[in-house]
Amino acid sequence: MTPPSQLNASAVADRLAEIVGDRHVLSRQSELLVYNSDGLPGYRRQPRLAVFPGTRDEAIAVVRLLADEGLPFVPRGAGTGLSGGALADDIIVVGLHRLKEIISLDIDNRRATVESGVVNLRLNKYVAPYGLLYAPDPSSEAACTIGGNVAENAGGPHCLKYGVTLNHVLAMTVVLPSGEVVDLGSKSGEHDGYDLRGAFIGSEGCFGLALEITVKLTPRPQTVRTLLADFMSVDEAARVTSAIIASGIVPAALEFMDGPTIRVVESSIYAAGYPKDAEAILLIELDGLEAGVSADLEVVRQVCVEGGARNVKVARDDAERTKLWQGRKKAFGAMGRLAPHLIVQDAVIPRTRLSDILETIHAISEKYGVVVCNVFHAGDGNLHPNIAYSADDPDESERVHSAMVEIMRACIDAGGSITGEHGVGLDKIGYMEAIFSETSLNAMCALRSVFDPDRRANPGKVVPVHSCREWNAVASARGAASVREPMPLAAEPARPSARSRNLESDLWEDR
Amino acid sequence: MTRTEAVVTTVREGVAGRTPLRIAGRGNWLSAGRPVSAAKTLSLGDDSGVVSYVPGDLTLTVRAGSTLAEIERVTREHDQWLPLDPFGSDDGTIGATIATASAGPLATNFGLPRDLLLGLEFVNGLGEVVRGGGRVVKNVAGFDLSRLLTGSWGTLGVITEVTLRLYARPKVDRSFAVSLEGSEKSTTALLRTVAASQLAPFALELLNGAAARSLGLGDSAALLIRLGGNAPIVEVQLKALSQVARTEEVEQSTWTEFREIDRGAESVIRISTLPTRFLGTAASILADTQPRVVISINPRRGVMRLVTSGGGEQELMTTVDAGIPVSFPTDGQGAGTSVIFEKLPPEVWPVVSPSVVSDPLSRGIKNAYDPHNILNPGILGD
Amino acid sequence: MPGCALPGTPLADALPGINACVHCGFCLQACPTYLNLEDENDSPRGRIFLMRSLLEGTVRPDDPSVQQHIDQCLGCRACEPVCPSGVPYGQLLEATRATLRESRPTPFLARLILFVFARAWLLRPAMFFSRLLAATPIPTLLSGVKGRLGFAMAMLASTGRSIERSRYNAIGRGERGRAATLRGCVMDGLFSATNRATERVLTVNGYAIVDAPGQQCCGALHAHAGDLENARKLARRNIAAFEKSGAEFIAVNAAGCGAIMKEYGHLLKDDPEWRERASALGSRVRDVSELLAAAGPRTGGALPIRVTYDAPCHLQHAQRVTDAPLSVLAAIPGLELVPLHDSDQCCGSAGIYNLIEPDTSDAVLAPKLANIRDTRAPWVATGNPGCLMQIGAGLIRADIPARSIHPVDLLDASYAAFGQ
Repeated sequence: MTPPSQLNASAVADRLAEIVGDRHVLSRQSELLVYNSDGLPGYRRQPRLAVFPGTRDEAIAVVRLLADEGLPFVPRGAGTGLSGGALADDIIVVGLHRLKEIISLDIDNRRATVESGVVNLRLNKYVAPYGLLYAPDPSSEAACTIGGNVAENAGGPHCLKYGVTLNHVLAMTVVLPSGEVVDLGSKSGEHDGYDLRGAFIGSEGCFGLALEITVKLTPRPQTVRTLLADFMSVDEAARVTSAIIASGIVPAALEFMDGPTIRVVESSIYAAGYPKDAEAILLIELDGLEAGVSADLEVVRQVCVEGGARNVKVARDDAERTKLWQGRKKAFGAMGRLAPHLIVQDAVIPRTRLSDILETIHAISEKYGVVVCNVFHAGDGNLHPNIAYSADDPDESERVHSAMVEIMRACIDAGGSITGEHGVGLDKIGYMEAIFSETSLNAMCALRSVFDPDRRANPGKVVPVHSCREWNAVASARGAASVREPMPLAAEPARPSARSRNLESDLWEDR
Repeated sequence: MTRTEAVVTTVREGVAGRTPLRIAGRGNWLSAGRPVSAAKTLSLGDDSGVVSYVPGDLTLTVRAGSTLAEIERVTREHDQWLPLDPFGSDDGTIGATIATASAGPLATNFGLPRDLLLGLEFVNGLGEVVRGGGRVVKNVAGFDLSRLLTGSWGTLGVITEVTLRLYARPKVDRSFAVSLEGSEKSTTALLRTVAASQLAPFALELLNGAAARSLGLGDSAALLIRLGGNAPIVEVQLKALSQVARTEEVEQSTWTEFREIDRGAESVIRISTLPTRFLGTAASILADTQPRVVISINPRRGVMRLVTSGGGEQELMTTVDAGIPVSFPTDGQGAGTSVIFEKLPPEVWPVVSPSVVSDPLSRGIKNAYDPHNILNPGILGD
Repeated sequence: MPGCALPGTPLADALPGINACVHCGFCLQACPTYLNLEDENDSPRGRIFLMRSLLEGTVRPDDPSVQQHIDQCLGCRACEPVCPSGVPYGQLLEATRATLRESRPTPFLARLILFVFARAWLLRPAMFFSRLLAATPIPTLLSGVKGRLGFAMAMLASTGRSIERSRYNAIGRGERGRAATLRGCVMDGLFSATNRATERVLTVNGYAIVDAPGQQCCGALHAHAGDLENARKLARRNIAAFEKSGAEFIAVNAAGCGAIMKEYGHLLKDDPEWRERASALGSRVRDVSELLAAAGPRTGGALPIRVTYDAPCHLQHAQRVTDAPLSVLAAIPGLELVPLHDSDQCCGSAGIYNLIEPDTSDAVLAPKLANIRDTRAPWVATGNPGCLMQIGAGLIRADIPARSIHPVDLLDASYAAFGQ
């Protein structure tokens, strides 16, 4: 293990500035404030420094400097994550958003190599003229980076048919926390030996920084049809979802929005024309060859009608289709209209349990007197219960957090997972022991230690430190102080908001 | 004692006595991989059966010793299937399939084992039970141990249970052969047409004469294609294909025979590269009369498989020669090519591919998961 | 918010707008300063976070870096149409600038410009001088000089390069109602030909032009800079003047002016005496392209030229007017409209921003110029004086053979061609 840095923050900042230029190192507390949260601002952690390398070489040099000094750091893309994963608690943020070069595009072999800061939607717009697309489409696609997608193994509505980031990344050039640069995976798609690329994807910044990523591109389907089915009960829509999946048709996407969500979207600039009086809608997309899609469309329509759909509408053209999707994709943002604060949850349940879990969530929301907006990827059972509330009201905050904990428990009890696409980060770390045994968590810790023996990359995320047997043995042998030597404080850290304190204490006390 | 506990006990005994273990399913593929010197075989062939199957979820959890045939039988009852057809027979186990990351023709449309695996349970080299992933179709909780174990050839842990993604069985599933008896030029033209088309086959393989002959498809090179889905989708694709080539419908069992093509093989080499590399070279590779080298090319995935049986050094050299234009193309773009050795004569391994896990990260992982090196030691090299 | 650090300030009033932000980050890629400066402090999400921090007291209004990031905002409002929660960013920015103003002096140059613009008696001679200067070869000679002087001269030089056209008599029946035009300060001073063209094309399209004496600068520059006091003063005078004119429509050919005038109601929301009148007047304000589009507009004579169109931020983002200017150009026979890549991106003009924050402004302008060059169109149409001068100056200095022009001037030239 490298010795902890003897440098103070301003000396580190100077050294970093030599690499990336003055303008791209932030050390003033007031300028670091905006980096104290990601897309889930209920959590705030004030970083000590932020550095934004502009080239891959600069990024490598930055990581090497941090390695030489034994300084912990947190990689960050666009800061749109929803698990508090990119927060740096008094340590260094390494932002990769300036690495935005699309390095190469191989149209015939349908692959592209990009720097990690390339924005998902920008890649898609770039390849669209060639009849190609990059399939993973998280709702934050307009802002999130491919590097961030790799770190979180991001999903999106169309993952139902096309798979998540894991299924679309062929190879990566990675700088490990030690500063060593390694190539993972193979641009040809297959390789032997351990699937280190697979292990790296979804490692939430704990294994190093992906600098260069080669992704698979998918041909644009010949035909896309988007259906909007509306229901007067949540239960009917849930049952129809299960029935469509059971029918064997694999829709490109199958999305669910409940009444409160519909109404908030319809009051936003992304109003999509969803019926405001409905209690649930399903947004179903079928794609592929024209002939096959037409046949499936009739089956799906039939299932919807038989399942109690009030109306089933098919988007007439691309403009209407885009509008229907914009409403869905911006729904989470639109909830800012309801109340000043928002909790976005992410859990997965077996698809046959949709109807009863939604009922359970409803009962929990009644019990705690909170309004849950459900907008989620129904096709793969990936729930996103969201609660808008005011963190300034301690009583309401308390109720909201209790409700969320209970919802998560119901999902776990149903045989589900605590996160389908947002990642564990800070937000879910308290639940990890509810779904993984001690030996499993320890195996994860061991894997992390191979990539990052000193635990300097994104410390304190994903796996609770106390469950890491080997690490704890090492740490206690060295004396706990050597695990992370904080740099001397230059200024008071930002005071955490009331809600972040509440949220965490709830999770931790809950264990 | 549960069956996983039985595995734990065996592994712990191995650790205590420092006796390496050969991990086996039904023992069908033991000739693949580098030679393993192990005093004892830990067989999971009997550890089979369904743990959990809710057809509506389209997920299946089974014990690792379940054979592909068994999974096929169980899922067929609900009109579902696991579209995973590795080379070899259906008597192979799912545990071995995942451990070796073995895929077959259906990977064209349904992806590799890593794409179908949702979660697993394994026993590591310390005799600890570890779970990765989960039983739901989407999951990013924790680091991805499922991908790590897939293709690790038993060296990081003994897979005891897996959860897989299932698909509804297609309403129509038909296969066709196209004889490529014309000139190299006309074959290349056909391949380019197919590559540029909207065809979305379940499987697509190009076979050289030796391969075609062993499947009873005549003496010339052939294209074998599998079209599935609802009736109209198969209809429209078949129509499109028929416009550019003369198709002949073949039995689905042709695929079973194709997958068994390396039975008794001495060496099996897989070359994975950019798909377009095959557009220009496939016709000449297929036309090259190598009566004893069985060649199949999957132009969609960019994978060529070379199989030789009998003989020895000479055949191997011939095989390697056949792969050279693809592996080391003159365009200087060879960096994107992987040559993967599945099976070789034992004495050849140290020369051709001593290890695929010699990099520091792989060594570190092996050391973390199996510090005493008792699980399939040496099968991936040191 | 418990314990607001800046009670009673315009920023404190804006808290509901700040609270609407859920930190989703969808605005980042829409923001020209974020794309150029690559720091979230220079993004809408970051600036809103700074605003919130000002109210929480975690940063102080006199913190120079906070001031810098707020100053560096172009105010283009490209973030507003992409915001799912409907954060009224433009209003938040004005409130912040107004609040920060109280704790520090406005830069001298900005103060001087705003001072002049608020006073018609000073503005007129200033513009007169500028116009005189523009008529001489001096600006062209000096337009290559490095730095702000060169750029300012290039801006002036660009104003003297409109399209040639002959005189014609604009005749109309006035069946669409009475319209008073905002003469504006820059438009009146440097683009008076465009103002006259505006009256002619409106007349041809059935609007009866009425005079609105006593009108002033719209106040947009003041409001954007946080000088809400003077902005309100100017607004009140304009409301009175246009009310008196009896016009049903107030036609504005400067997108920045139109945007603020449509929002007079918000500007005077705390003034019980003027609130209603301000909203009523705001609802009658139209961009000239909106009035023309509503009338067709009438087709003119052939103008066989290649034109590309750049959307002013305050037209497309603030006023959400996107199609009307295109239908104005479409009414010109023979005109070939070439699409401009990223035409929805800001050009970096942003009122007086290009004079106050020259480096960022140049950085934002550079890709715009490259995209214009790629169209190989000799004309760039855009309906805002700031953009006309910013792009015009950039074209001169980059030696790109193209000129900026107001769409109305093109329509006017087409009508003139018809008359011949």
